[in-house]
Amino acid sequence: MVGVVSRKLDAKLAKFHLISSLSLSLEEILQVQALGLELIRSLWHTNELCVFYVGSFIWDEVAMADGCKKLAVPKLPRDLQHKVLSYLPFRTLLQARCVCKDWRDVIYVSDFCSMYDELHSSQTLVPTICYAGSFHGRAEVEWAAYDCVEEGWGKMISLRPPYPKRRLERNDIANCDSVYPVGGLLCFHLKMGVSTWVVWNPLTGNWKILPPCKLAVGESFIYVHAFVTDDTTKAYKILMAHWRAVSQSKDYSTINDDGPLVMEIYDSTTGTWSEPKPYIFRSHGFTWNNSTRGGVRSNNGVIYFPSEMNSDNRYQHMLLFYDTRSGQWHEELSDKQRNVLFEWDGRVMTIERNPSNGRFIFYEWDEGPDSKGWMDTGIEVPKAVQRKFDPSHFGIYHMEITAGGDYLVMTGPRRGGGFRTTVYSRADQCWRCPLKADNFWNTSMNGFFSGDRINGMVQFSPRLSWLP
Amino acid sequence: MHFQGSPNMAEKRVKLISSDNDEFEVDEAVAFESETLRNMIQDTGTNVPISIPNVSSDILAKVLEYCSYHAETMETHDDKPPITDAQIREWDADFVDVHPATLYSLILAANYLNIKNLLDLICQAVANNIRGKTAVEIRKILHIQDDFTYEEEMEIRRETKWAFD
Repeated sequence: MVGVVSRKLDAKLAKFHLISSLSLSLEEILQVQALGLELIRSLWHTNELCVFYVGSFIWDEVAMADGCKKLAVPKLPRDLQHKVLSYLPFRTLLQARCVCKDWRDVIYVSDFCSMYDELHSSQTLVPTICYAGSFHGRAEVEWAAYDCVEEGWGKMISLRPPYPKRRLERNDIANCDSVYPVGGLLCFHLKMGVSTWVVWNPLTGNWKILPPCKLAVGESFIYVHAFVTDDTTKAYKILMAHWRAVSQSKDYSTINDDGPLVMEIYDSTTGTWSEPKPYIFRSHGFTWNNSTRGGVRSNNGVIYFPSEMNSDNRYQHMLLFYDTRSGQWHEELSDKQRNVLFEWDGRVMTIERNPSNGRFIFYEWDEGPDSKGWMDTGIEVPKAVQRKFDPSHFGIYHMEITAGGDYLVMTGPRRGGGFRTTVYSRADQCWRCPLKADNFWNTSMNGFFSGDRINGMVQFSPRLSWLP
Repeated sequence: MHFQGSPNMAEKRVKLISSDNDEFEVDEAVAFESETLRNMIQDTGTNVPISIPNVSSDILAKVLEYCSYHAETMETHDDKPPITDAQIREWDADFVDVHPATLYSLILAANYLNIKNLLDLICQAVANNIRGKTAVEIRKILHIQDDFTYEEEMEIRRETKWAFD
């Protein structure tokens, strides 16, 4: 039922008088409109004094006007509501789901999802999501996203894979850093009795358990990386490479890993794991991986894993590459220890302490036709910023770094305990330590969060339209 | 109420009549910012006044203000430097800095008149408006009915409960 009013134009005060009501529903009127202006006109003339479809109402006043309580302001058509929603940042979008049923379900409407993703894909402000599982085994795996504009972390309680007990604990995670982002999805390597992979879209809550793989948890060190193979069809692969342990011991330090590297690759288009030919190392010796985030992928389709090798009691640092195009592995000796790898716009980067002045410097892996090696990027953490972090030698290896677009986000143990975040803006070439971000680590995350590092900070672009 | 476009462009003028019978006269180029008006003008010509029965004069004035400015930005003048994108963005930001109720009416008008850029601009402004608002406040701004049962509401609240620092 639509109230019909006449609007007396008064420069100072718009007055509304309910004079009659039309027994047309709003939907009907909107339909009439869709039919064409002619119909509207005819309706118009039969109700000369009536304004029945807005544009004109100062609705606050309408609502207040006596006797007009039932006057319906036309609903915003659904497609316009969706258009408004598509401009919301994802955190606000998820909050807005409390408004009505249609909004609650909007994240499952594929047209909306595509529209939303398209609008947000060009955003340079990639939120960083991490799982902050402390070393406390029973602690719940917690989620947080960093907003580079608001300069703060948002804890995301609701992002929780409903498998298998609606509460994911640190104990359930197979390795130290078993969360791997791929497209709009997060892949978890869990140990639920057996080694299990769960792929999850934290925005929609959709998740899927992958078919079993051969690798048992704790069997060996593994190199893992999940990567997108086709952005349009949203296809991805998960690569796992590992040694079959010679020793039965579950103690990593006694595993003799000099056998071939066994591979298992999951392909989302077939939904199956395949086992390509194992790779035999060129370098001889005891090799293992110190990877913190399961490797990073450069824009030429090569995945880089930090690795170490012990040959005749001599430790050497190396980089292990897997070329996703040719399916070939390569090894390269690295001049210094680089076990904090991250990717920034397709470039493989690392951080290291300058031996002369102790400052943190960022390097980029450069692979020219003649030379391979780490190149100084010229980006350095200022003294004042570095001083806020743990000054011990190991501090640097406990840094979690992700970068995307204009921003590099670094989180690590701070001097005197706890954690802190610093953000580098490439556009301004400046470092900031937002206070809000600092407080977050020390007040918002739960009390168990007291390990000496934050596990698995990953760069992740939330996308509604990615299905596990 | 008359909108004066730039004099050298004033070839064809179009008359528009708002829901409350106010007459507006604009350059054809200004009216052409609206797909709906463009189609109508192409059908009926510029001689007949076009009535827009669902847009009131205050909102139509606002819409035409947008159209005139944006039609103007498309023109090139020898004596004036071209308007930069930054200037346009600034103008647009000022334009949408109005009461939520006006924005709401503008969305409907922009949708009806089919002015894509205006619609995008306003939807974005409305989105900014509802950022950080509670569900109750959002329902009020956008005239949305709360259609949850108590249980459903509790369920979705649990699901979307966020702890912000």
